[in-house]
Amino acid sequence: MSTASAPTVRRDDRLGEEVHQATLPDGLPVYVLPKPSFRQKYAIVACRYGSNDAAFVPPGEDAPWRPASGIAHFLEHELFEDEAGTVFEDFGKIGASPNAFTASSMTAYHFTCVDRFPEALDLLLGFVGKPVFHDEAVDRERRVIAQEIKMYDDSPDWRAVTALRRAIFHAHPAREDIAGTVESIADIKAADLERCYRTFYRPDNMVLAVAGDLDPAEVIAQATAKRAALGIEALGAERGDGPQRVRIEEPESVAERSSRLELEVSVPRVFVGWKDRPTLGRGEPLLRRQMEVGLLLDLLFGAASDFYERHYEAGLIDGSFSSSFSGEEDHGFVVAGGETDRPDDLAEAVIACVADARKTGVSADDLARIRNKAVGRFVRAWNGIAGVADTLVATHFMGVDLFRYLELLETIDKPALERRLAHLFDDELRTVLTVTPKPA
Amino acid sequence: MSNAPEFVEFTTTEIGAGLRLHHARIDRIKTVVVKALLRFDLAPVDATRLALLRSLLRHGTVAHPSLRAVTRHLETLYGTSFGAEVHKVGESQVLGLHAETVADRFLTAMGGEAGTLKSCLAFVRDILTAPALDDAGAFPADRVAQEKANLKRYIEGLVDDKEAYAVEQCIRTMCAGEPFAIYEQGDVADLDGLDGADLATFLARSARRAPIDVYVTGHVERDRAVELARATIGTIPREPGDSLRGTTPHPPPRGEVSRLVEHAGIKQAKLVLAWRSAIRHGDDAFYELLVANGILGAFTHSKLFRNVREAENLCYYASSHLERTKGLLLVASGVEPESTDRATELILAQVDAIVAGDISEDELSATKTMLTDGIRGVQDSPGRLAHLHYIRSHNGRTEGHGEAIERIMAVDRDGIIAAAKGLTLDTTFLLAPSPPTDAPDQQQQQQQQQERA
Repeated sequence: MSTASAPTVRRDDRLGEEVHQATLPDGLPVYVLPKPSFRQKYAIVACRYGSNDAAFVPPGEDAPWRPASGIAHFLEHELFEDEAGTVFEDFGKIGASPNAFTASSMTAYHFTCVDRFPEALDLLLGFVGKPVFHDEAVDRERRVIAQEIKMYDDSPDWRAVTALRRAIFHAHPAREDIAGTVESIADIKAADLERCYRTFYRPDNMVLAVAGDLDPAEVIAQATAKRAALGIEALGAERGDGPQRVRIEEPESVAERSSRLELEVSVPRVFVGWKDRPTLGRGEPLLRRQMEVGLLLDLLFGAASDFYERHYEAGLIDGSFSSSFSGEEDHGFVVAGGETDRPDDLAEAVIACVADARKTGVSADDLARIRNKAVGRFVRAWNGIAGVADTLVATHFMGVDLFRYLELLETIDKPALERRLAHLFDDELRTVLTVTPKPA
Repeated sequence: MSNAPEFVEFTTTEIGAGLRLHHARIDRIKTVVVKALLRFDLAPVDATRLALLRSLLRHGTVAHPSLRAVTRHLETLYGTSFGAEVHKVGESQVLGLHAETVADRFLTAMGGEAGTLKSCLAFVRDILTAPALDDAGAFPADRVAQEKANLKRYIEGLVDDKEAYAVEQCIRTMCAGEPFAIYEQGDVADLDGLDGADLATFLARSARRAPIDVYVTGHVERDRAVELARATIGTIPREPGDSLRGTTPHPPPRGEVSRLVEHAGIKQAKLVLAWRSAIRHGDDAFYELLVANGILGAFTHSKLFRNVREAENLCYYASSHLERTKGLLLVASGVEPESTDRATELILAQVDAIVAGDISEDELSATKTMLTDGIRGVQDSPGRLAHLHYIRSHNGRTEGHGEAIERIMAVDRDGIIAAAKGLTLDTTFLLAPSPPTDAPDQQQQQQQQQERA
């Protein structure tokens, strides 16, 4: 049996943390974060395949294929249906709690446990690495997923976010719900899932990250042995090419400048969205973009902002007001909004706040304070083993080094934020979604 | 690989009358978590008063007299977090102030300034004893009006979260006439009677007389924690408090099950079943009830998940939850609208199975493993450790984590059957999709009908 590459170790003495990284013989990258004296252990195996990977050329085929929307999420459910159909029980028997999620650009499977980590890791690598696809199991799971979709349909906040994404994007898969719709998943077959699996669940498109009171060499050796035992073949010459994704053309503009939605809610809501221009490419530029927009939103709309104080005191916003950025290599958008009795006034206030900031710039004092806060948050994040392992997965797929975070933070200065402010909040790329209570 | 003690136990120091400091040191954590928990009897009007006060407290102190000033102060303290909330523990209402700050050691390593824990503790004290008031010593009227409007909207907005609404509505109906029926965020009808002067008086009295449990947990030595707490929160002038009622006994059994149905414009039905338990957290047999609940529905190997979600695929979620102080067991589920009868039948059958002793070796051992590993896993989390300690002490339990684990491991089949036999189904609540009818009154969001079985 061949062995994994010798691990490289990244250390930060100020934090007192280190991360070991190796690549298994089959090409799977592995990160281990040793957390001495922590009781909990966590492992996550993730695949760079999410709802945004809507069209692709499966291996060995020539033509692009666009399967039904929701298929990446369906695949996530189906992997838990192993030959015996008892994945959850098998974890339960050894005291481990498994779970999974599908996001726009990844699908991930993870567990938390205290004892018996090696057994749980074997289970995780087993059901993700060696799935079986049967139409019977697919039909059964379809009913559960349909219930999941309906549960989300009953959530007004979820419905609003979906409507906003549809107002922003013309064609990009970000328009669609991650789980698809009851209709879109109706015809998914085992063979379709298998095709998606073959395309994306290849070692060079995945990553394993574990955290806990563990010996990195032992974890790496175990993962190597288990994957070999599963018969997972190493990628040959094609290693590193990754799956063949097909980009779906998206115009720069927003799909709708304004839209309204009636829902079963007690209070109206309004959300203002800005579409970001894609900055193709991953790596540090993408991380910087996320960090800069995060800081900007905190400055503009955070609880210490002029905006928040003024409009909270005037009763235009309440604790439900929030702002966020969703940014990936090929798309991105900002949302700001919340519940309010006066949706039109709030939309106007949000827009005015951004317009003012674009004129006057950001204050260096405010930036210094917000940076302090970001440093504290970064240190605090290392308390949570699951959170750090998840971040290692995200930064791996992004192609950046997590330990560079603080250095990058120092380089984000006033001019950088002002450039971002000018670039991102274009009036032409803005949309407003108003949610009103359905008349009784 | 580690030499830290297996379990984190708190040491308690009385730093004032009815003012206790609980400290635990956890060096693997990079922060210190501070909690100040004030306890009250859950009662009408007071619940609303506390919920409103919770929001007003966030507007700061004499030194930092606005939400904005507070936020800026905390941001300067390297993003120290601060929040205030209210929650029920049985029929007690708890006003909780929570903060978390990075331990000095890491701040100085980053080139920052030490001393955030002291500032953080002083801030929590000031929130209670030096809130931002107007010249007349009241919470400013405009702020009170604003927070009343927010609270009203929040309480009325509960209906927008269908899962939470279904559970709350079930409890409200089931416990009508008992304090437990009171919603922890209060009642809109009480708001008019409250003003800034009343609230300021109530806060001042509470800071002097309500039992206060302060937790300082994380990367800090005991002596330092005690010294800092004494110098800050310990300076609050205290008086002997009123005696509290706590949680009342269950009312006499009604001998029938309440079955409620409401309709709303939803796609998935929400089903809640509620039992009263003869056993509560303070009772000897509590661990038997805990294991019974685990076998029934707390985990993914539990009967509800396997036999209701997985075997028949009727629902996306189905799980059980214990309100341990009050002694209630609730099952909540999101079900296909056409399968609610079948789901109810299946859920009841799972409880019957436990009563009949249909408990496999695998179910028993997996449940014990999940529960005991749960206790082990909590050792990494200062906030959850403090919460667990608070609930345990509130209910008079004195055992540490090691003994709790032994007690769970000692639970046997007979004990579980006895605990399950002590469950009495009280109320079922179904939130169903509105029928597609042309009768306009059927479209009302909260049409309620009650039948008796």
